Amino acid sequence: MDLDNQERQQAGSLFAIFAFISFLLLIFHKQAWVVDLRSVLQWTTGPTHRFLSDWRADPSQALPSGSASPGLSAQPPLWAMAPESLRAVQLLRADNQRLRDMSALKESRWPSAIAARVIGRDPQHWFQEIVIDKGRFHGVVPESSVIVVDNGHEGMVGRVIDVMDTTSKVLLIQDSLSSIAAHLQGSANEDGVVEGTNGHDLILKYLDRSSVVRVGDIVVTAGLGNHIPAEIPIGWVEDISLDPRQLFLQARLHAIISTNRLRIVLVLIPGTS
Amino acid sequence: MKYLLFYAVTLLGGLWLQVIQNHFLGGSLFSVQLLVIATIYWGLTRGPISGPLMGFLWGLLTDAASLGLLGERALLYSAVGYIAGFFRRQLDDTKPWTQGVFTLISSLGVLLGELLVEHFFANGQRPILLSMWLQPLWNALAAPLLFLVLRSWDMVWDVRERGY
Repeated sequence: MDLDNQERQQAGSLFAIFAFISFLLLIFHKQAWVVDLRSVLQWTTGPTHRFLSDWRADPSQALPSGSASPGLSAQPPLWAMAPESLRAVQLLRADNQRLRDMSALKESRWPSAIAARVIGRDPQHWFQEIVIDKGRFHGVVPESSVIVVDNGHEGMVGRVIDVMDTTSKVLLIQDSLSSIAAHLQGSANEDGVVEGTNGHDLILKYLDRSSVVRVGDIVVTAGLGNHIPAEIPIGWVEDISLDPRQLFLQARLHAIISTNRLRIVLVLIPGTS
Repeated sequence: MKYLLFYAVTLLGGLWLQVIQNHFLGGSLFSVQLLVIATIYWGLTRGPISGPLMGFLWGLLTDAASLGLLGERALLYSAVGYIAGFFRRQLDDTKPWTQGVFTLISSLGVLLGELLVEHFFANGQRPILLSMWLQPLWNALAAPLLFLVLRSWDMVWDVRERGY
């Protein structure tokens, strides 16, 4: 290495400073100043996340500018529309329906819930976590439950584990670290624990060996503890087997909600919803 | 002023490209760490001062934008930039093989570093997914193309020859 000594010393010092700062951030990653720093730094990518989220969520942008019409009466019939316009209208309808479902659910069941948009997702943590655009300023607190409405069904998404000023981090139920007290509806009518698999499926554990659980039974939250309300659907039983120690039955669940399509979620604040 | 603007535009442009890439390919088996490759390019072409500087800033902003530990990728990317900078005069950064092999080794180092850092600082152990182990390979394959793009970017700004 024929770098001159001065450059070598400068580079070494600079890297030592960067490494020191990085270690400080890692060691104190739960401290308020690190959380605040993250919130500030997120301003650099926030607009990009929002743009991408809007771009996918709002298909009106896909409408050709020439098709904008002053009133509904001027709209051409669906069969006469160009394929891209038809697709845009279909997307708008689906989006509209999703928002109506969400709004109806919010008014009827969770009047104090906060609607939030999914603005971030790390490829390295795809089945583990998401970032939403509501944080401490909006009233979100750690351990808030997060649900979503999809095709008219509400479903459990996860719970808030980290709250910043304007964003929050949500641990998905698919994370293998996630563990939720659950109730098996149907003939079995018993409680268990739903754990994530880091994939699409979930596992319902600790069912009695004599349980009469059946494929297709619905699993909902049990509502034990103060944070997660009861009766929120989680998934349905897809397969039943003995656990590795052969002490309990366990069921593989198909999650009600596909986390790949998450756009808008509802945050249920403990004690208010 | 021109160089400051060049660094700022490159920093934010690279970050946004990574965010867009994550948005469309995140969770798939074909995700590429563009910023690791860019940091290697920076180190190999500009030396062990600019390399870790850009690596640190990209890493810090990536940490903030994603869900990882703040400081994790800042540490690892700056280390990549620092090491690449030391090889500036030993390796020919114009050869695709050099770019690919150096990127493959560095990406594996970043992956192992992430696992190590998370082992000590994160609340839970990250699951070992196939996509994580494929990423260094995609990085290595994408490196020649990205080096070409970055070299063209330098030429547009006319900064490479001056050592910035």
